[in-house]
Amino acid sequence: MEEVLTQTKFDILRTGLRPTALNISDALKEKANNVLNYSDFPTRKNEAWKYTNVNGLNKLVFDGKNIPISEPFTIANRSKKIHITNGQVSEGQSAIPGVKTSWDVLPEFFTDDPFDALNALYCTSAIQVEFDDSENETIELIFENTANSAIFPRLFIQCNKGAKGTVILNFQGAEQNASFINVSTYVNVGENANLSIHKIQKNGADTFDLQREYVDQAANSTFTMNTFPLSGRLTRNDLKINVNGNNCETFMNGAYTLKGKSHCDNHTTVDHKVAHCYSKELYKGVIDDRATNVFNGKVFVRKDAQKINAFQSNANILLSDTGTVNSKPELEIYADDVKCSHGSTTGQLDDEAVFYLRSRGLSEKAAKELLVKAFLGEVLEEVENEEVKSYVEAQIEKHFSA
Amino acid sequence: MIEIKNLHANIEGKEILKGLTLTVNAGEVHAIMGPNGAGKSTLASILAGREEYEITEGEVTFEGADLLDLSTEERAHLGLFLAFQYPVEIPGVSNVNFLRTAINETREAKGEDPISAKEFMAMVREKSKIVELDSKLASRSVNEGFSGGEKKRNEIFQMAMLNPKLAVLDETDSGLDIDALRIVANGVNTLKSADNASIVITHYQRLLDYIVPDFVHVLHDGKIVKTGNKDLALELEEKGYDWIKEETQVG
Repeated sequence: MEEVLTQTKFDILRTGLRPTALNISDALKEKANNVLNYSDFPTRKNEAWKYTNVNGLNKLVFDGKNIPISEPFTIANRSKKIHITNGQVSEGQSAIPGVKTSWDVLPEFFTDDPFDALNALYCTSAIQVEFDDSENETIELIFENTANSAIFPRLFIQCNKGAKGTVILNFQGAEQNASFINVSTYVNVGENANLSIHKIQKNGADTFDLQREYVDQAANSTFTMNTFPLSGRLTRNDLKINVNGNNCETFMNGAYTLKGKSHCDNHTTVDHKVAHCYSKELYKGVIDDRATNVFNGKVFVRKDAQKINAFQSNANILLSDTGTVNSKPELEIYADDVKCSHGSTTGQLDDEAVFYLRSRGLSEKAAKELLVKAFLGEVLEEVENEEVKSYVEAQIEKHFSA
Repeated sequence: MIEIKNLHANIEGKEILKGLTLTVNAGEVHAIMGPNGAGKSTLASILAGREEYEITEGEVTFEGADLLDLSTEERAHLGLFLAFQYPVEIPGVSNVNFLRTAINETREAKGEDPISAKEFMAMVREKSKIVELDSKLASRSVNEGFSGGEKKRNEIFQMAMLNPKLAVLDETDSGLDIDALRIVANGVNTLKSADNASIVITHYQRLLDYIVPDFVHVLHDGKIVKTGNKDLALELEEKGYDWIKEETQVG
């Protein structure tokens, strides 16, 4: 009886994990343990995990088998870079002002998400990035995963009042890598601050990547989150943005290219708590082979949060008969003077357009590639960082040549 | 140039072409006229390689090759061009970018080097003038937000860029006002040479005032039932198609 009960919890997964070597407070440890003790391991019965099955996590073997990344990459030439290899901040890197990688004790940030609890208890590295002035600095965190391992980076990104910053989260794994990546990122965008985060998830074919971003925006701030899940066995992103101050702008963009048996799930929540704000979300992707995609976008407009403009759109193209998409845009509006829209489309490439291009001499492959690039191009147009943009463009091209 | 022999074709089990025979030589302009449902657009679609049609009998030889055995793009590489009755809007794909890809794929198929950016842009400027197409339209997304007339002019612009041996114009006059019709026809006439040919498919005689055909064929019930010179078009304009239908039935 006892065993049946624990099997529905996180116990199986936890047996294979090594408790964090970092110093976490007893209070945080207790809170995290509590969450894990009362939370069930996600199943289809759980609304937030209805279409995403993470049972495979329990089958991963963290044997540390090392396979180098065939083509390691950095995104931004002039960025300040920190390398994190198999979860550990690489040694011997010169210190970067505003970046903190060693701690007496971990910060107390915490939510009641069991995966965040795991992240705290098994944390492999904690990194804080802080922007303090209005020069737009770019800091790139490069997570290289070459060994089959469980990695738990805990990130704190702070963009102080009036500051401007760009963070590139560059996740890359060896093609055959089978890791469990679990990332919690706490983001604070101060008054009049402007922060952009670009996240590239180019994981190994058998890697599970579960990430959460908890964002708080203060008045007059701008926050942009661009998410690019490009490969991996399963990718789940939970982006939660609290817009706490007036006159904020929030941009969320995502582009994904799925094939094989990949599964990708983007859950986003924007909570407009106060008036006079603008948010715009655009997620688009192509799904090939037996790949599956989930999109769930929630927009809340609280009572008295008047004059909110919130737009949300998700569009998918299925390139095969066996791909699947589950898309659920949700709006919950409790104010009456707002302008909100949402939409979701899933379809196939326009046969007539393919034929038109072929009749002009393009091969079927070139025609389809051109149409897919145009489809995803709408998202890339939103990306201001040229280096991120050209990297993702090149990946889309590669996706087709493979 | 092209030789169509006893072509039979079905769509969804229904026979549309019932033994169509037609030969077009270099330097010639052939008009194909006929009532609605005669199979005019089917012919254009089959020549361009639309896959919905099943060829049950007959053969088509184009530039010495078995046309029906080639993919749509291989036909384009050999010099076949279809001006669509309904050109497709393709958001996000720029007209000039796609044309450059098209030209380069054709060049590659012929074992030629890709066109240089400079040469290509000069060509865009020169050819867009032929159909009075604003160079801004040339660089916009393919047909997106174009008026009916602009779409048809864009078809002829593409034709000018690709310089085909055989152009099939499928009801290019439909939906055009008189000015657009004149511009489109003028484009086609400018591109005419002793080395190329065109098949102009139309329901009305109007277009043939501007593009003067060497031959006029009447397509009825899947076959060419009458062939004449440009005067036949005028006769059809005057008398309609019913007398042809009756004549065919009697015959």
